[in-house]
Amino acid sequence: MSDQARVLKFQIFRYNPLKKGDKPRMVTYEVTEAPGMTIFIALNEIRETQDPSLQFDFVCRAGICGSCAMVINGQPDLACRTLTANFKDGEIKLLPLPGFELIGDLSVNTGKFMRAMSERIESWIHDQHADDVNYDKLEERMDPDVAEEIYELERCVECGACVSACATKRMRPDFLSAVGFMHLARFALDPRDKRTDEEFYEIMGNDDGVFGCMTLLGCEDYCPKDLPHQTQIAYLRRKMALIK
Amino acid sequence: MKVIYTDSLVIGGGLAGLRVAIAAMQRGYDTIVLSLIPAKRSHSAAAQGGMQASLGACVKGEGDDEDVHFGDTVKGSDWGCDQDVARMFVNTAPKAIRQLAAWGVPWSRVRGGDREVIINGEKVTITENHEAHGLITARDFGGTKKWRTCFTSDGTGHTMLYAMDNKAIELGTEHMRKGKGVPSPYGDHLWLDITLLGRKHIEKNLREVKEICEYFLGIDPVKEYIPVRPTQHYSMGGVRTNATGESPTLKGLFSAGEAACWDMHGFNRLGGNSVAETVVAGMLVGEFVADYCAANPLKVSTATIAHFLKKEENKITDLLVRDFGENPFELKAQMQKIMMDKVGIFRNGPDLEQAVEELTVLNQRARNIALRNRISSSNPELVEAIRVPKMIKLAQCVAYGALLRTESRGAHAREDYPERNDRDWLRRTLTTWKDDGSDLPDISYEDLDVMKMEMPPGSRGYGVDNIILHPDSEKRMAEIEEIKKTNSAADRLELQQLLNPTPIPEKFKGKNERIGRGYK
Ligand SMILES: Cc1cc2nc3c(=O)[nH]c(=O)nc-3n(C[C@H](O)[C@H](O)[C@H](O)COP(=O)(O)OP(=O)(O)OC[C@H]3O[C@@H](n4cnc5c(N)ncnc54)[C@H](O)[C@@H]3O)c2cc1C
Ligand code: SF4
Ligand code: FES
Repeated sequence: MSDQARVLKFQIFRYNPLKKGDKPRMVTYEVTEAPGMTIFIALNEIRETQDPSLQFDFVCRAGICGSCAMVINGQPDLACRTLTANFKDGEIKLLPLPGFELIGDLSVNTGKFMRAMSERIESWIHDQHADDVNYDKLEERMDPDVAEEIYELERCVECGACVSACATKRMRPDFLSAVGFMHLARFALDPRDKRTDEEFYEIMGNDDGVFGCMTLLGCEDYCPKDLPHQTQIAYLRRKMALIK
Repeated sequence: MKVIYTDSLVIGGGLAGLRVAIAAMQRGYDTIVLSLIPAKRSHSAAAQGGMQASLGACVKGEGDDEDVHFGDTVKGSDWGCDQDVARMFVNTAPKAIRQLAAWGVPWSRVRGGDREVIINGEKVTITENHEAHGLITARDFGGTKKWRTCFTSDGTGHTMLYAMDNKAIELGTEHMRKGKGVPSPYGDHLWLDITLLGRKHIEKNLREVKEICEYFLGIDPVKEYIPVRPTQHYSMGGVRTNATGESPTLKGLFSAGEAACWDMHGFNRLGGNSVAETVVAGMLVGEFVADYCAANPLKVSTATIAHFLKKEENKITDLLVRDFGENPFELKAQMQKIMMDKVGIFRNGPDLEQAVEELTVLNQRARNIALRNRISSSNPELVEAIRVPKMIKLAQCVAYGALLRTESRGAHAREDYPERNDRDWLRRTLTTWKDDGSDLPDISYEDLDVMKMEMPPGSRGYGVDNIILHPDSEKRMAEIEEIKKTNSAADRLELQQLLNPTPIPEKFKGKNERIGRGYK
């Protein structure tokens, strides 16, 4: 590393749909790089010292909450855990995630999409006796390996990177997408969820569901949590193909 | 003016808010959750360590129960907690864990047989009981007599929040608004060594830590030390409530979770007790909220609504028309620096005095914020302009309270007053703002009644005990001994009822079962 700090060049998509007359454009900002600088830190610096109107989303700034996905030099990723040092020529181009409603600049409404997805796949444990459980008693046992396997699929942070990287989604606006499949795989694996395969078929057994997937696997390539999309989609497909 | 009516309005979609909403919805009340960010993105997701509840299923948790958890919680709080609340909490926590299990949290489970763990920096082998195989396990999180922290691999908070939000989605509604992140300061650091834990453990149970190391620092924690530095990561104290979660000064306002001073943490919170608080308080306070909805028909005067709406509108208009003034980002950065340098872990009179003075100046300057980007919608600078003055006021409450408290207790460590002074300071600091324009908050104190304590103040069992005793401590101890003697036939649960007859909602009164021990 040289002791001379680099000057980074950020090209950032700007557009506020709520502002009359505003037009989408790319704006360039220069930021002096600091050690350990992430895109989150740089964006804050731009907002605080250069342009207070710049919109972008962060909550945890530690790769946990899934708020900050954006397209960074052509690739969707979590901005809070992307180091500026990774970009050799110091040029960083930021665009909002495609496939979601734009709130403004780099901020998109993943929350609305994820909420609709949750309602569509009914992302909760279905068990008609769940509310009769006596919580004073020992809990139902679960094999430690099964608990771990469920957790492995539950690590999705609903960042939306997989949705934005999905070619099928671009052609089919109502395509459920990898994030939905991953949640479904999680519930299908969970012995506490009493839904039958036929009930799961109702949710995903069509072309907007798992049969529509063209297996281009942008989801697998860009999921920041490295979730096993390929295996899980293949698994759900086989399972659904057996129904009808 | 468009008025939206609902039986209960929950502000915040973290674990606490969602659990209260679920309780109200299950009792049939219309509920709206209002959150700055989608609920699943709340800070609750970040609680990787885990949640305390005395299930006692893992071998290092054997012998654990509500009483041991109570003792740890009271000691942890340095006797500053409300013992009624701590009691309700420890008795309900096992039910909360089990309920979340039914709602989908894949809690890590006991695996019968030998396993290697690290205790006090040494590798040892422990043997889990086969009878407990498949029950919810727990780990150590520091400050407790037993291993009591239930967890889900490395993503406890995430799995809890997802299960809770999914349950809330199943039941009803949730509205959100867009929110903003929080910047992180840099500075000096220490080294953290977790290499002893080994690759397998780090990759499974500390994967999030590993990811942070790799992505943010470019180091491999399996082999290298991690640079770490202290930062504020929890707020003890909050909106003062009574044991039902209701504000003593504003009827119908309830608070639960990190925002509340329900007061089970007192002056220091035990690791793993805060997510536990969110769900347990959510369960209990949620019932009291529903009771309140049942007893009080919705009656709001539209004139009152219009009055407050106008007031807030005026504040925003003032900001939008002011030509010159302070920059909210700068004010915030200065506030952060004052708090970091002068109101940190070790405190002293002169530093605190300076901090209070400097913060007061910031408070005054914050009345004159002007914007560079003068639009009223989707404007991060406007958001900052609205929030920063409130943050400064909160910082003033912390700093001024710390300056006046001439003792050391829990996380409040005064270099110039190292002793814990029960005689003069066994009391809670209450701060209020007379009006928006005040320079400093008013401070008053609420005494803790030793004669009502189930566990009167004693040694907290860590660090050096340096205590000025409360005159009632010995009296109450003698009284407790007397009660124990006269009721020598009573079991621990009956005795607890005698010492601290806390009202717990009917729903959650039952005794908790534990493996190998039944309901005893
Ligand atoms: C990194 C980290 C690690 C932690 N680890 C642990 C641990 O291992 N164990 C443990 O017990 N505790 C831990 N804690 C503490 C614990 O996670 C929190 O105390 C707890 O989750 C707080 O939950 P809550 O529901 O009260 O608030 P939060 O989860 O913080 O939720 C607050 C909610 O309020 C909303 N909100 C805020 N302001 C507004 C507004 N003006 N209008 C509308 N909505 C608003 C937010 O959108 C959010 O939905 C940790 C905390 C952090 C940050
Ligand atoms: S599956 Fe991966 S990429 Fe898709 S939303 Fe979840 S974490 Fe993000
Ligand atoms: S801010 Fe939470 S994942 Fe980036």
